[in-house]
Amino acid sequence: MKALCWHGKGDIRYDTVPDPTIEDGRDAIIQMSSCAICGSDLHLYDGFMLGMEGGDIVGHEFMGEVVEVGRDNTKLKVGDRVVVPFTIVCGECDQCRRGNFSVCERSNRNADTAAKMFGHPTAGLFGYTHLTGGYPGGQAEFVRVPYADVGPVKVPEGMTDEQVLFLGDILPTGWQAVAQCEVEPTDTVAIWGAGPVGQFCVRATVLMGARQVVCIDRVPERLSMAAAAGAIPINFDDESVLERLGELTQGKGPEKCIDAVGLEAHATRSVDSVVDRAKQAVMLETGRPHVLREIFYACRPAGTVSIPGVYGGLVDKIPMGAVMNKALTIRTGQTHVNRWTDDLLRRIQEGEIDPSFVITHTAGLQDGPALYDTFKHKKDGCVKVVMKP
Amino acid sequence: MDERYERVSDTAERLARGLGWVSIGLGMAELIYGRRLGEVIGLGYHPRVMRTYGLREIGAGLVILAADDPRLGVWARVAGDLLDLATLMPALSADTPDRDAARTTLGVVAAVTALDLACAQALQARERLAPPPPDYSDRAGIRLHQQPRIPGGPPWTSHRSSCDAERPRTAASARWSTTTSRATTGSPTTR
Repeated sequence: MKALCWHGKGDIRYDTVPDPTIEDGRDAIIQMSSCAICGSDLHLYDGFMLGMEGGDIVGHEFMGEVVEVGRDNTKLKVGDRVVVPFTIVCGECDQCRRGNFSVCERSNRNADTAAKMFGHPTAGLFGYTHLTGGYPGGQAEFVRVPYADVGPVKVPEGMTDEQVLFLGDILPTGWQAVAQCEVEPTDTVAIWGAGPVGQFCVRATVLMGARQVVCIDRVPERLSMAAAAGAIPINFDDESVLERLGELTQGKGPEKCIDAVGLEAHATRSVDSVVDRAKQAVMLETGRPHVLREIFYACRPAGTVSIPGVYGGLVDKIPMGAVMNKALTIRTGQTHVNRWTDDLLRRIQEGEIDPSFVITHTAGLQDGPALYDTFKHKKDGCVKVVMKP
Repeated sequence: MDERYERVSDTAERLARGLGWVSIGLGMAELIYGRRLGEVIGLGYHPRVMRTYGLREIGAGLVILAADDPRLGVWARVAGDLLDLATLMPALSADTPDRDAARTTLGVVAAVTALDLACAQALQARERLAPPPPDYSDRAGIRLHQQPRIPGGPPWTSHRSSCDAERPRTAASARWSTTTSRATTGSPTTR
């Protein structure tokens, strides 16, 4: 089969690789019908995540048709259309039973390695380094889905791929980020990052009923997309974020702040972001936490900071004094996708949200290598790329 | 996408990044081998000048490589080149021990200045040629009311009043309401 494979920093290739096979009775083999490039795939593309090996199949946002089912899988049958969450979950461990699917205790088959990195293992992920189990990803014609009687979400008749594809990652990611804030009707919610996750954070904030939502970025078309849903845009190339947030909140700061940027914050003209970039280049730091620092200063005392943005290792110079003395609450984590999918699927079916708004580029899987570059550099107004086999 | 813009953009970007690394390399050389370098270029050994110029070069290189827009760092290089030229001009006088080396160095610095200037201008051209950003203002993705329900309020309906997140319909989502309610005492209730 054909698949997009990682071969080093900035090197994604459209390779021929062996077809996947059933390895466990609960598995299913999915023939991919649509997949997407995620912002966190760029962390792999840019070489910021440890644990990749040459030839690894990438991609964790995908959906398709079930073509083969293991003998113990009674949930799926051949012909079912499913969206596959990026987190692989067993459904039976203590964490899964609590609904903390992204920290499933069983699905990471390289748990020891992950435990060395993080203190404890977290869930296996599709196409996201050997630290998360080394599972082949979904930017491929066929994918083996472990524990396929738990994770995959069946797609009702009559729904297009574009409507439901993002149920596997960025829609519940944005939703969880806002849910973690426990939005009140008097809240100002400020979202750093107008990428796809930031866009879904904006829509989730609107649907959860905040007083106002602010979106911060430097890319004009992404800010216009956020404004389309009612966000107040702040272009940090044109104005001071802290000053503008102060104006919008009578000097008190937003009650809820969301970091939808993660470890690859842009190197702006601020000294700290330039220093971060230099330190990252020589591996003294694995992330660029400029956005985190700004959030901790901007957030109203006793506010909540929600971090869906991905971080991988070590970051420096975090103003913990501000966090502690301002009594900030931090909530973070990879998305517990299956916690949200039932509710979100119903909202899509009822027309409350149509996630396809975020797609700007659709192409064949063979165009994947070029599209990684387009997506990374935000060329041609690119916000979200969907690929078909 | 505009091919000319892509071509100019890629060339300018690659040239700028290359100059950034050259800056860092040259700056390190000026810091570590200042004496030898001074002799080679016919300037003699001036430790304070070498160290200052070395730090300047490294700084410009870091700004080019670290910032998303390398223009500031490249223009800093141009300014630094002019300073280098001004510093080297007196070395052409008759009492300079190695006038030939000084002349050669001046020629090299003039050529580098021209290259830095070309790069800066290419980066400026990139800005001029950049296509206008697309307008995604018609991509709401959710239902919005045309007029705010509350004067001066946001242009959307708060779905909290009819929020079925507080009345989840499936067992799977039953545990995780997306809202909390506040008791009259003002303290949050647990879900």
